Amino acid sequence: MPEHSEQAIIDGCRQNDRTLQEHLYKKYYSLFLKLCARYARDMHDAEQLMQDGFLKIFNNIHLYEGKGSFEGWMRRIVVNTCLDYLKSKYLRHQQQVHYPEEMGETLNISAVNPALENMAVKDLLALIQTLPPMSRTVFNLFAFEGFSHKEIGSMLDMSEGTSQWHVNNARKSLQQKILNSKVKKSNIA
Amino acid sequence: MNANAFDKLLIDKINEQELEYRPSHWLDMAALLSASDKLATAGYARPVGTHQLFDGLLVKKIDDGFMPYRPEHWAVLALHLPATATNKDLHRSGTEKFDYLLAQKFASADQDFAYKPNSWSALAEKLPAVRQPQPMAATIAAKNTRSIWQLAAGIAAAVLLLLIGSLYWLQNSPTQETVTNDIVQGNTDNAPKTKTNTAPENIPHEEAVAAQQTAPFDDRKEEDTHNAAARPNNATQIPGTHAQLTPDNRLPTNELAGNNPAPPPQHNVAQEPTKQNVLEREDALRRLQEIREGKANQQQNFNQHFASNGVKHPGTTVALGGGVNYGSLNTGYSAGITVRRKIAGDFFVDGTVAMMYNNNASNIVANNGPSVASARPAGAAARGTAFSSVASPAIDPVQRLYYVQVNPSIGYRVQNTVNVSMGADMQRMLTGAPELVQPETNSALLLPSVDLGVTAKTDLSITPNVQAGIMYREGVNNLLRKNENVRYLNRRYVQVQFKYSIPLSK
Repeated sequence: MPEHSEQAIIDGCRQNDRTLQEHLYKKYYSLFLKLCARYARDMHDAEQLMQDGFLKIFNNIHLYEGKGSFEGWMRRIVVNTCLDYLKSKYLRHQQQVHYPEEMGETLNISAVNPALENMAVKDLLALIQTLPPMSRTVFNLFAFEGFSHKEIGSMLDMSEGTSQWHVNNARKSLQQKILNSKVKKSNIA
Repeated sequence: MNANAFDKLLIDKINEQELEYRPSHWLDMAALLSASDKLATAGYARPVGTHQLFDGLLVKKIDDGFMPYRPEHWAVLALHLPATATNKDLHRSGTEKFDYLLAQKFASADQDFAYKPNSWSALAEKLPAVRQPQPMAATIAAKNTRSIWQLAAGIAAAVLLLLIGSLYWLQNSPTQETVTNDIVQGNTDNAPKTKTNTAPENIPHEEAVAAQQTAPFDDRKEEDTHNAAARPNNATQIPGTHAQLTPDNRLPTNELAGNNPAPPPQHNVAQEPTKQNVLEREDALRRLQEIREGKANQQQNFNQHFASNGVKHPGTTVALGGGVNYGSLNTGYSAGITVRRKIAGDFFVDGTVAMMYNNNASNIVANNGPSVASARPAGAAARGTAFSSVASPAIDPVQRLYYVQVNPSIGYRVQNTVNVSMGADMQRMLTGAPELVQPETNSALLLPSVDLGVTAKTDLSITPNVQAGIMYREGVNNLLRKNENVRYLNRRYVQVQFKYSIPLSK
């Protein structure tokens, strides 16, 4: 794939240059597919979300003001696409209840992290997709996108405490699943 | 201070929680990092590891101009940190490390998904075939947002000032004066003339004498002896036309039959636009057309015009515009050209040359009654008006006044889109006669052929090229000319203006 400067790609996409659009698509295909896979319940939904995200990027690329990272701008569009989908499909039916802040002790992190380091992304994605939709969404927004609990609360219409609870819940569930998958592999081996 | 020292300081800042730490931010910045020659030549090692990676990215950002790099910033930062800053490794809790490892996992390139060409084909079918080139989003968004608010603000300001001007006009309109020194009987010798196309009669300036009393002002004077001599019956003489006012200011109706009022001097007030004005207008229209076709220039002008810090507004602009006047005696409109030149900082000078039209009809009718020839059937008695018990002797009072206006001013740019200015105003009446005597309710004032005044105006840029403005004009003829025998008509009005400006230089 020939190298193009970022500005040339942006200009070309604004002109609807198919070659440069495909170049951009290829360049960020994997990144955004992984991103969407963390929000979706399966890879089929993830691919659809990625396509929708890219479509929005190409249709709105003329709105990119040149301030800040272009990848960050695209990333926000894709994340918002995922959120919109989740809100319409799953999250609006979630009842917002007050969750107890105390989660209890976490797992032995020293055992989890090495297992995580050795785990393939696809396997990790499969585990993440088994998380409850709300907890998965909040965890993604907190751990991967870097939003604060306050920001997540305003985005998803919940309190900061609830956001914290979902993050801890998702983290704990994920760690447990990772440990369980490590144990399974050990048993199989 | 070298790169490593800066890195240490930054890590300390993060550890002290003065900078909010998010793993994803590092990943974002990592995506921007490439094998930059700048980093190598600047002496920074290729980033490896966590904080060196962050440091490298930060330096790259600075070098790329995302952040203005100044060495003194580092010095200032160092003052706020402990004297013995140590190169601590980033401490993470187990939980934070778990999140960090997760993020690292997904950022790792060797864990990418294989590219599927079919997915691109499916997406390409949904993309539009052809897209028109669109301007930058920032300017569109900013332009749309600003245009709406500025248009609303401009309209609101114009309406408000119009209301204020109207209230002021209504308060000062000459309705309260009763006729005490009223208009005249006419001569029987002069036949009525047609309304237009009559050759102007020159009224000698010496014969144009105004009454001493003024209507709206307090500085009323007694008639001087000079005028008294000219009017032995202590009446006002209207030059060129009429006999004197009777002392009791009443005109017996039976006398009118034998005293057909002489027609006032007829002036060819219909003024054709000069060739020069037509050429200027065509030239301006041609320039307008060129500008409409060149939208990139317009966008550039927008950025220059509305940039706040560091970018100045255009040095020289030419504007075409017009306005509508509202005043006690001066309703009408104008059209002209304005050249504005920035002189220093936010100060500017501008000069306007315009053609102005004043409709004097309201004054004529209000103070003199309707034209006798038009209002009164032959042989019928003259009718008074609400303001005068004596009908106007004028067959065809001068209603339309045309001027050439020159209005230099000096102004100041208060905000990016708001200017205020003050200046002088000179308006030359485009008639053959140097001056007109215009009867008023109880005095007659001169309409000077060269009308001097002062102006104060403010304008608001609705769009980069369109300005809306309000101008107040006050006549100062009486102040400047100091003629005891003559009182000039102060042409005072509020003018609502709209201009289209074309920047000529930066």
